[in-house]
Order: sequence, then structure tokens, then C-alpha cells
Amino acid sequence: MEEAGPAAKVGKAVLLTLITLMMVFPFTYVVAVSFSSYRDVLSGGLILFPTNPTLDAYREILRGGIITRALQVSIGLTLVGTAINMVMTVSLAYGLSRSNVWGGKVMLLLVLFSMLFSPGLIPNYLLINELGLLNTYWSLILPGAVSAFNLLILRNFFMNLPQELLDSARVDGAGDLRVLWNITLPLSKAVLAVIALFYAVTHWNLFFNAILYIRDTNMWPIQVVLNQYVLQGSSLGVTEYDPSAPPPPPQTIQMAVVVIATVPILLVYPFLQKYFTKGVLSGAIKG
Amino acid sequence: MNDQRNGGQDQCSRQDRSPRNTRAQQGNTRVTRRSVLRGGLAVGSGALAHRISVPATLDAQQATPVAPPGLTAGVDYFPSPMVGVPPAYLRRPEPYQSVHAVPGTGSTVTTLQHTMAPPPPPREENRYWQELETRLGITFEPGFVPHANYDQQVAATFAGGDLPDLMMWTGSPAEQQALQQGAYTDLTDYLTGDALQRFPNLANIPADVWEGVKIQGRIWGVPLARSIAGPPLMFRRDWAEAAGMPAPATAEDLFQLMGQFTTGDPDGNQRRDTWGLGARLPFSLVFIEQMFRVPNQWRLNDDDTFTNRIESEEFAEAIAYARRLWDAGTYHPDTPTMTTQDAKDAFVAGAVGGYDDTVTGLPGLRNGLAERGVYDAAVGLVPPGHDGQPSVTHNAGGNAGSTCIMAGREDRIPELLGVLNYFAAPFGSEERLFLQFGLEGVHHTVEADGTLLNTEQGERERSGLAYISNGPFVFYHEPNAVFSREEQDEFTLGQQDLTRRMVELGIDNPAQGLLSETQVREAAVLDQIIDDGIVALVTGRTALDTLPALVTEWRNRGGDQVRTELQQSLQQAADYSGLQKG
Repeated sequence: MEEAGPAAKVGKAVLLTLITLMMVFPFTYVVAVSFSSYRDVLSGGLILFPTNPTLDAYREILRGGIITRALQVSIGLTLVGTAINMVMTVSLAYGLSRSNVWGGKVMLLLVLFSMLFSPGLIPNYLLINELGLLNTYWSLILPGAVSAFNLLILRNFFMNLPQELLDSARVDGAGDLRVLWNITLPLSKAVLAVIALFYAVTHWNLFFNAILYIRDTNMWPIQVVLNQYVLQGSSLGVTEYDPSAPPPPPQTIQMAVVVIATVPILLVYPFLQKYFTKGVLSGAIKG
Repeated sequence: MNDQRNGGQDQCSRQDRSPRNTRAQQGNTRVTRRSVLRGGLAVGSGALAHRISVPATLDAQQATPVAPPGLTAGVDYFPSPMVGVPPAYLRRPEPYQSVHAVPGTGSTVTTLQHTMAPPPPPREENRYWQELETRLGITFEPGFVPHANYDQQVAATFAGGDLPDLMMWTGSPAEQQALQQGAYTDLTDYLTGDALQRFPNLANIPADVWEGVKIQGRIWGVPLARSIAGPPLMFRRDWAEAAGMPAPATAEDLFQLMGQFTTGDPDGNQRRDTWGLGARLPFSLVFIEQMFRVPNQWRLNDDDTFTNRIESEEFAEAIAYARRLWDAGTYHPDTPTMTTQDAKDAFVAGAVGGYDDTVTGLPGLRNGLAERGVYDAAVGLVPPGHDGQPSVTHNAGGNAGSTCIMAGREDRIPELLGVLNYFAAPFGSEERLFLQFGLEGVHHTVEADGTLLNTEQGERERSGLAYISNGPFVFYHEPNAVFSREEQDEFTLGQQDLTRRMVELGIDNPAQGLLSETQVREAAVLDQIIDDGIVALVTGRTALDTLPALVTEWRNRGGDQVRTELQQSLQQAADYSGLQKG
């Protein structure tokens, strides 16, 4: 490839800068508003840098230990849930990736079927109810334990691993589990990281299922609790308060909520970055 | 979804009409958190002298006192001047006991209630919750659901079949269906006549609020009382006085005044940054409809048929007027998409001079303006008749929903109603003081001058626990660092006066308390048709003479069906009251 001329370089740089700014701007706005005070919000217009920064919104949300508890719940759900997800998805994908497995085809069809058809709100609720899982954490972990989509990605990847490697391991006397653990998994680090990230983010964003299945507010994950703060913020706007000590305006609470909800995942993501870029292509390029 | 614009199936329609943005007034936060106990009397000995002594059995309870202890009517207590207008208090009464026996028998009471507050700490760490259980004599197991998702949760709960003792009612399709299938207990016999007197605090709830909660003539739940007054126009009096028109008396006057707000630079900053009108509901149309005497959702004709408001001639006039306002540029450009919060912010920021809101929204605006150093500026404007004659106002449902007792609990109904009776303790009672402020020293502190201040623990622990019932609505405002006692007194009386003037002109929605399956099922679609049509007509995207086409579309898509069902429902309700009399 020939090197582009200086004009083209500058043009590219400008274009890329513009695109980057467009991407970064919404997040800057969110963070800026979350640190704003009532004056900044009322003066209208775009707030890129609050003139009267304040921590009021964060203080309002973080006091009382409710968020801490909800964070613990969410982190627990994410860790345990993702672990279960990975164990089940990997073992099922490995099994389905081998040919001549008894019942393999039937299993695959069942999985595909579940991907295409969803029973809806009430049947799911009835199922959870009948199983006695209402108001437990299992109702949030078990129903989505194997995602058909992720399963197929993983299965595809396993099928594309060089058969010779596995055969040679077999010749050396390794059983199936040994092959899985010592050969297949180390080769699949990229795609495993991606799938784990997908699952983890799903668990972290748990909202609707939690509302539906869990009545005990101590067991509410972080997204549900944060949602309540947003609602309260908007309801606070209509109730009476002492004007010498007004509550933070609803918009700042909403933005602070967004920041708190996304920061933990943002902290995890950079460590998985390199796996992510490799893993995204898995299954797309053969050989 | 439980927008008051629905035909009438949500007899428990909420005060605030905007969907999902219900003013989730906890009975304990409507009134300000600070109070000044009257005079220098300490709570202790002085209060004892005013207590009413009654035997401590459930059957022989006296009603709550007519004149609050320690206050004088006409001086610091202004009773309700007419049905639908709350009383006004200028002082807190001496706390009196309104519940004389513990209502519970040690059983567990489970609820399903929606909440807009963050979850409370668990019972083991929550002194307020524990104290509440002691006072009620029950084990209290509330089930909280985020407000916006309540309908789905209710549908799933009915499907699952495991119902709690108490459920809040919002009028969603699943609830209506369940009602007709017998999932709720009919409470009419327990809550009318002499039977109602066994629960003095429930009897204390005004009769018009009870009416608003009936479904086809029967009572199914205990209402969360609110004011029934329709929406006035929140109005910058200082701008109006500067423009020389402090009290517009006709539609033409209002038009001129709004024009002045827009072009006359009322805030004097030499910038074109003000507009006449913003809106909480599209184009503040409800206020304009009141000016033109448009029916309140439906009109009941002499032959017992219903005419929807969009079919009336008055509506066409109202739309034409709104179009005039729009064409003259007096609406804020963001008006078509304004939310309630946007409208309030715009008003407080001084961007608009008027928008429609309920009387209870005034304190928030007054506070917001005070923060910006503007005083005595916000008032509520009663809609002037378009021709100078008296207008009408659209009465609201008078409640923010209700709490119902589920079927299969016949033997526990007195206990459950007793619990709700406790939560419905009126302003000034000892129980209300606890519900709103918790325990002294733990959840609130008493200042040197007698003011009560919620502590952080108090606010956190209270959360939405006591939301399932509340006493009747009252006007009361604590003095604080910004507003003195005299200013609060004047403001409180002003609110009561405004409400009276609104309610005097009030007309009810004749479809309130009637059931229509189509209305519930098709509410989203029908509302969308009407709202989109209104926006198009007012902004000029479609010509005014296309209104009949809009009406036809609405009728074909379900409007006629709704009308038929409402008429049938009316017949059923009439049959029931015929049975009652006969």
C-alpha cells in the first residue's frame, strides 16, 4: 500500500477527530450534568463544564448504604451467574461440536428452537412460580443459563479447531475432558473472554426479570435500585421542599445514575480489550 | 397509561394526567417536613389536656374531632368551605389520638404496592418499620414494585395465582379483568353507612373522594385522597402587572397578554427569550378547553348517550384558539414535546409566563422562583370564560389510586381495614405525626423553636412503607428560612381560595367509575390518535377543517365501541342503585 499524501493525511486526521468527538461528547455531557447544580440546569443550553460543580446528586444517591447493598447483589449475581453460564455453555458447545454424539442433532435442534421462539411474559412467570424460584436469586441466573446465540458461536469455534491436534492428544491417551481442558480451552481464550463479557454485561444490566421475580427489595440488583432514584428524582421535582435546601434537580440525578451504573463495567472492559478484538472475528474467518 | 384522558374506566384516575409521571404524593411529603407547634406549649402536658378519651375497644370509637385541638376556626384553621375543597391549616394542631386500639391481631399482612422511592433498609435494620409493626400489631411484608412496571407485575401476579392481602389499584387491563373474575373483595358493605363509622379515619375521607373510587357503584378499595380541583394556569403575575393586565377576563384578553409576554420583554433583560405559554399536557389545551366549556372527557346527554369531548363544537373552538396562539408565536417552541418537568423548569427559569398545572404544583414553583430571587410572582389563574362569562373546570378523580383487599380474606377484613384506617390518619393526629416523621430523636429532631426536622435515617427508613393509604388532603405550609409565618399563612389561604374558585366551576367526568374493556385495551392507540391529531391541528400541519376527519378516525378505531360500552356500564350502575333503593 502506498502512503497517502499530506493532504489526505490531514483530511483523515480531521475526520477521525470529528468522529471521536461525536462519540465522546454524549458521555462528557452525562458526566458534566451529573456534577451540575440547579443553577446550571436552569440556565438552559448545553452544559459541557458546570460553572457551579457540586457532588449533591452523588451524595443523594450514595447515602444510606442502599446502593452498596445493591452493588453487592449485582456483583454477586454477575460473578456466580457468569461462572455458571460459562461452565454450561462450554460443556454443551464442546459436546455438540463433536460429530457422532448420540442425541447431538436433537439437542441442537432444541437449542435452535429456543432461539427462535420465546414464550412471553406470563408463561415464563408461571414456570418460575411452579419451580418455586420466585423471590430467589436463582430465578435470575437459571433461566438464561445458556444463551443459544453464544452457544452457537462457541460450537462453531470448537468445530474449527484443527482436528489433528485433538486426534494426537487422543492418541496419547487423553480422555474427552482432558482434551477439553488442556487443549481446546487454552486455544479458545479469545472467544471465551468475549462470551464471558457478553454474559457478564447481561447480568449487570438485569432489570426487568428482577422486577418481575423478586419482591424483596433487599435482593434488588443495582439497575432496579438506580431506576428508583431516577423516579424519585422526578417525583421530588413535584413535591414541596425547603427552598433554602433544595434537592438536586432530577436531570443531575439521572445522569449520576448513568455514571454509577456504567463505571464498574467500564473498569473491567480495558482488561478484556485485547481478547475482544481477537474474539469478535472468531467464527468469521476459517482456518 | 392511566391517563385521565381515558374514557372512564380508571375511576381511580390519578391527579396528574401525564402518563406514568404520577405525582406519587406520599401522604407524608405533601405537607412540608417542618412544623411549628402552637405557641410555647410543650407537646406533653398541653396535649394531654386536649385528648379525647374513649374506651379502648374497636367498636366504640369516636370520630376524629371536628375542630382540631388547640386551633380556632377562622383564625388558624379554615375548614373546607365546600365539597371538594380541602381545609387549610395555619398551625399544626395539638397532636390528638385518632386510633384508640391496635388494629392488628399479630397476623402477617402482605402487600403489592408501587413505589417511586428507593427501597427501605430491611426490617432488622429499620427502626421505623419495627415501630410501625408494633403500632399496627402485625408483621408487615410489603412487596414493592417500581412504579412504571406495576402493570406488568400485576398481570404476572394474577397469572401466578399467589395473591397478597392488599394490592394497590391502578386500573390496568389485568386488574379490570381480575375484578370481573372475582379476585377482589367487594367492600361496599364495610365502608358505607354505620359500618364505616367503625373506621373513623376512613370515614373522615371526604364523600366525593369515595365517589371517585367507586366502580359501577361499588367500593373495591380505600382511596388515596387527593384534591379534585382541575388545573388552573400557572401564571407570572408580576409580568402580567407590568403589562397592565393583571386579570385577563376573556379569551381575547389572554391572547393579548400572552402576546405581551412574548414580545414585551417582561423580564427586562433586552432579550427575546420569553414566551407566553408552555405546557404540561399538549399546548396547555386542558386549560383552554376549560375556557371554552369543553366537556370533561365526555358529556352525558339527556338520552343517556355519551359524546366525547373531541366531538363537541366547543372543542373545535378551543382548537382554533390554540392555533391562533401558536400562529402568533406565543407558545414556547419546545411546547409540543414538553414534559411536566420541562414545563416547570421553563416556568421557574423565566422562559414561559404560563402553563397548566394543578394547584398542588404551586409550592414547588414558588420555591423554585424564590431560589432565583423572584417573589410573589407565581399565581394560579382560574380559567376565564372565553366570552367573559364563567367557564368550567374539569374535576379530577380526587384520588391517586386506591388499595384493595383481595378475595378469600373475609374473616380478616376488619383487621385489614383497621390497618388501612391507621395509615389514613389525618393531618394533626399523633399517628400522622409518626407516619410522617417517625420517632423523635431517631427519625426526626425537634428544633428549639419547635420545628420538626427529618433526619437522614428518618427519610431513608420511611421510604415508601406507608404509601398504601393516607389521610384527606389539607393545605399547610411550614415557615422556613425563606418564607416567614405570615407569608406562608397568606400562601396557604391563597391556595385554598384558588381551589374553591376552581371547584365552584367544576364539572365531573360522567364516565368516571364506569368500565369499558375497549377503552382499556385500546387506550394507547386511541390516545395516540387524539394527541397526534391535536399537535397537527394546533401547529398548523393540518388544516382546522380536518378535525371531523380526526373524529371519524377515532370513532372507527374504537371510539364508538368505547361509547357503547360506557353506556352499558352506566346502565349496570343504574341497575345497581335501583336495586339499592328498591
